[in-house]
Amino acid sequence: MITLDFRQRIGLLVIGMVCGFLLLAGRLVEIQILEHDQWLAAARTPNAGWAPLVARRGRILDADGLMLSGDDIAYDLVLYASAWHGRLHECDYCAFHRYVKPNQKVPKCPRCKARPFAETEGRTKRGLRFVDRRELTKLASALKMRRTDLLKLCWDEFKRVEKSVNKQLGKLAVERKTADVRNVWADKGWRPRVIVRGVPYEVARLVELYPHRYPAFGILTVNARQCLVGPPFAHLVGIAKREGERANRPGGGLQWVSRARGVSGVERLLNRELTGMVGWKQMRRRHGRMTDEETDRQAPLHGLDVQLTMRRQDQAMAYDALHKARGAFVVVNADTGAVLAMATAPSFEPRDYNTVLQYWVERQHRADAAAKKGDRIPRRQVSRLTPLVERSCSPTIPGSILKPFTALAGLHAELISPSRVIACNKVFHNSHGRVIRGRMTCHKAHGPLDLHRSLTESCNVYYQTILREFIESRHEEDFLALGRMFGFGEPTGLPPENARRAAAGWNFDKSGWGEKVTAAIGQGRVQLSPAQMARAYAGLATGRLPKLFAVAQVGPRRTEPVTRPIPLPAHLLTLVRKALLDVPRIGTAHGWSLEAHGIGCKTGTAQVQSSRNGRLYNSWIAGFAPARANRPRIAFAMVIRDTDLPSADACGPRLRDFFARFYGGE
Amino acid sequence: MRVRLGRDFRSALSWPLLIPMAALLFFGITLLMGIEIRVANGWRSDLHWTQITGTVVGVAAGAILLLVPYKALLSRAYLLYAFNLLLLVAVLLIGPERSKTRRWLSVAGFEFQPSELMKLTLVITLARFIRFRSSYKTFRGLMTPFLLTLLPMALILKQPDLGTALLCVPILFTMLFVAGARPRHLLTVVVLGLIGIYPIYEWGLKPYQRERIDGFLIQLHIIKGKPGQAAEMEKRQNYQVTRSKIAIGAGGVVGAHSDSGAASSLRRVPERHNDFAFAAVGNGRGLLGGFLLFGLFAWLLIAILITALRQRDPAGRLICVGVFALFTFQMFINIAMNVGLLPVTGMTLPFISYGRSSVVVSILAVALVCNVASRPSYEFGRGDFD
Repeated sequence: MITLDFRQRIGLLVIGMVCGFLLLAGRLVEIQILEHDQWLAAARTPNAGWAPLVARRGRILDADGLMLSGDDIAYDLVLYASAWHGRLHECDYCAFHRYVKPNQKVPKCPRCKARPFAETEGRTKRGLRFVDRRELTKLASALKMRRTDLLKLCWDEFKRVEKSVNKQLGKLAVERKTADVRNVWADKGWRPRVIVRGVPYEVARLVELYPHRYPAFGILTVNARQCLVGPPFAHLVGIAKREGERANRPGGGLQWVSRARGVSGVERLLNRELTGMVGWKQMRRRHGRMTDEETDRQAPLHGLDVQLTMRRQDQAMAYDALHKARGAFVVVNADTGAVLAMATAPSFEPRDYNTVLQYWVERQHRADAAAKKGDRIPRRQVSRLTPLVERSCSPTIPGSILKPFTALAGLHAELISPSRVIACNKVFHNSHGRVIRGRMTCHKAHGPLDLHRSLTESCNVYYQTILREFIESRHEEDFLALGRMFGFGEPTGLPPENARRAAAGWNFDKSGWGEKVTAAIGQGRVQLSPAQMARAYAGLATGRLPKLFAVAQVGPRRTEPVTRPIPLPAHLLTLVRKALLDVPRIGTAHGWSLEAHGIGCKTGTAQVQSSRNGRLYNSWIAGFAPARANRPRIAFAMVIRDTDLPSADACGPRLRDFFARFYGGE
Repeated sequence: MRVRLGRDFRSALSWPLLIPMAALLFFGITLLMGIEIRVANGWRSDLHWTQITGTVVGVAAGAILLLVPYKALLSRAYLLYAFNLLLLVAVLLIGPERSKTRRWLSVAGFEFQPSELMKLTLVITLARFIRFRSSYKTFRGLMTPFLLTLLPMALILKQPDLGTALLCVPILFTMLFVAGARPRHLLTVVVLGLIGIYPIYEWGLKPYQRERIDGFLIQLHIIKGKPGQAAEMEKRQNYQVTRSKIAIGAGGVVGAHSDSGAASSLRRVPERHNDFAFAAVGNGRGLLGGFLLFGLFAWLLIAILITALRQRDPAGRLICVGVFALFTFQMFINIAMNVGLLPVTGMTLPFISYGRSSVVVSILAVALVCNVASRPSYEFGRGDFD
């Protein structure tokens, strides 16, 4: 064993000491020379602040590239709480502090109830710096509000800052860190707090031009969303609400930035693509305030532009076709599924909602509609006037426009043949020969009918008989299966659609015998939306069922059409199509010159309410039209809801006017 | 005991020890002149005056200590030890509580930390014990010096003051090693200590102390924290070290200009006048200042070791080695903590950090070595540790 003498042991200590010194010296060289730039940058960072550069939200364009919705400059009036020089009071015991209004006495600390709650040294300036009565009056009058109201807004916002400062101080006390009130104030107080959104340009100019008069105020220039085309596109384009979000700052930490968030329509569906990514600029800070000296910049990543499949004027025409009605009108390219028009009425002015979604705006719409209608209207009826409801994708009772599909189901199951004749003596009999009245009757006795005549004259008894036979043979599921071939019970692919509601509208889960039978004529519990009907008629017209889409392109990415074949013999589809082509000529839609455009369609009148005041219907018309004059082959569905007119009278003239303009080259 | 004041005093002055000590004190005072700290009712920039007061008191106490032969201290070592233990108990009983700790005693308006004095008392006591026994060369014989060390450690930990308590361990080991204890015995104790680390970590430490160690280990990628924990640790526990590294790194080679952003980074270092005083050295004096400080410390430490080598009395040698261990480990741990090589523990930088107790005890330690140096002994007793 090696034994060391005293000198050797001391020598070992010296060696250890030298090694220690070398280690420390090496570490110092590493930090102070090799990593000097990195640490120097970190040291300078607190002297600089990051200001967000708001990313432009992507535009929404129509099929021709014309803008439907885009960003516009808006001004917000903001308050810088740190510039508010009141009297800072601080508790000697719990470090709670608050600013106190002039002449306000706070004898005890509001938190720990201790005395004294004394004024802090160095912050004894009395009064509020920006409260120059005349200037504030001038500003308030420019804002069209009372001076006291403006002052109250400022105080409320200031109290919020004060609350967050106190919260931070409490946290620091818990973590046993030195609570530096001034540092916390500097950190929290310099952030702009929005007092009034969207102030007029005159107010912005006033505050920007005379900062010395309004030292605590500032103007925040933000991008506000503007839907330029108004009500016709309101539901499709949707609403983008402006709000704040927490964004990651380059130097670490989070910061609130203003941005628009889509809350409905395409704005919501493609919110992520439209939003982009916020950018940052680093500004030098002096005495806790940002200066104009820019030291670094990260450019914002602007949102992608979204192009829709519809042309602006087509949508406007579809909206006009629903003039003074409550309903929806959907026109789609029968071959690709691209939506050419998708209008909902009544609509709303998106500008009212883009800033902030407020309940009172909606109530106003209801009240306006109610006032037009009369003094007092039933509550249920008022709710149907709600302009925010998107009706083109809302399922409702389809009525007789479902009959072509009942016919196809019967043909496919070989329950009927084109030549089979069923006698209609106005009333429908059940399998025991008992007469069933109510909705199951026809409005007249049609007599003996074959398939072609039953479609052109829309005989209820004929189709109810088909479904009765389905039920008797216990094959009613085949009827539902055929509907699914045409996309019933599944979402069409359009943004405002509710997939669960779409699925719930096409099944017999809660249907009794009568409801199942009336499903043949689109009554009972069956519910389908105009978009689903337009899609189904597109399938009927082409033999392939398209997936609907309203967005043609997102940034560089184009939407590819998706279709699927309908597994039915082509001659069956042809048979039904021929019958539908005769509906405008000799059938239920005659008299409105629809045959002039080569339209094949089916009308439907679904009874939704029967009372002493009369009956209300969902009046439908759905069909297809050929390609003409640079226009694609189309399928369409129109519904006028809660009307007292039958389908031909409610929808016929509207459809005639629309096609006159659509094919007339407008 | 007859004292010839003038001659004894002059002969006791060992300039190779006093010059680096004076330089270090001067260095510390000038450093504190540029430091401003936030206190409850404003800012305080007169730290250097307190430090000068402490220095004057320390020099006076050191002068008195020079006049008392160190053997007189050795003969009363156990008495001193017991008295200091009493002081430590008194701290726990009557000491004022500050930030949930009890470390100070107030006597006639003068506040001091008995734990600081205990470091020096422990050196004297261990020197006395080892000098007159050889039992420490057996494994069982190590029990007594360990008990002598663990008793004040436990009381200091109770305050709690982890940094000062931990400093007792290297002092003991260094003194035992130099005295000739078997290295394998010491290694066995180290291994046993390492085995006992986990229970101490789990049940012996306070949550904030555990978090400091966790933060340090996560920072070194020795253990892997939960997702996001590294950032959280960085924010909460490594905050001080990060701020310290920023301040030191921003200082560069010659130090940061006083009105630059780099200099203002020092204002964000907590305890920059105390435990993180080296951050102020690195920031204000740069790499050159850091090396100058190393040079002064190296001078002082080597002078202490030379004193030990020249001394023939084993007890005197042990005192020198104990003081050497005290300064060396205190300095290394403090600076390593400042540059992020060790986790944060409350430990001052001798002669530099603000604090009267620390300065007085450091001066007393040098005075004790001077005392040993001025009295070369040729005692007949147990000889050298060879």
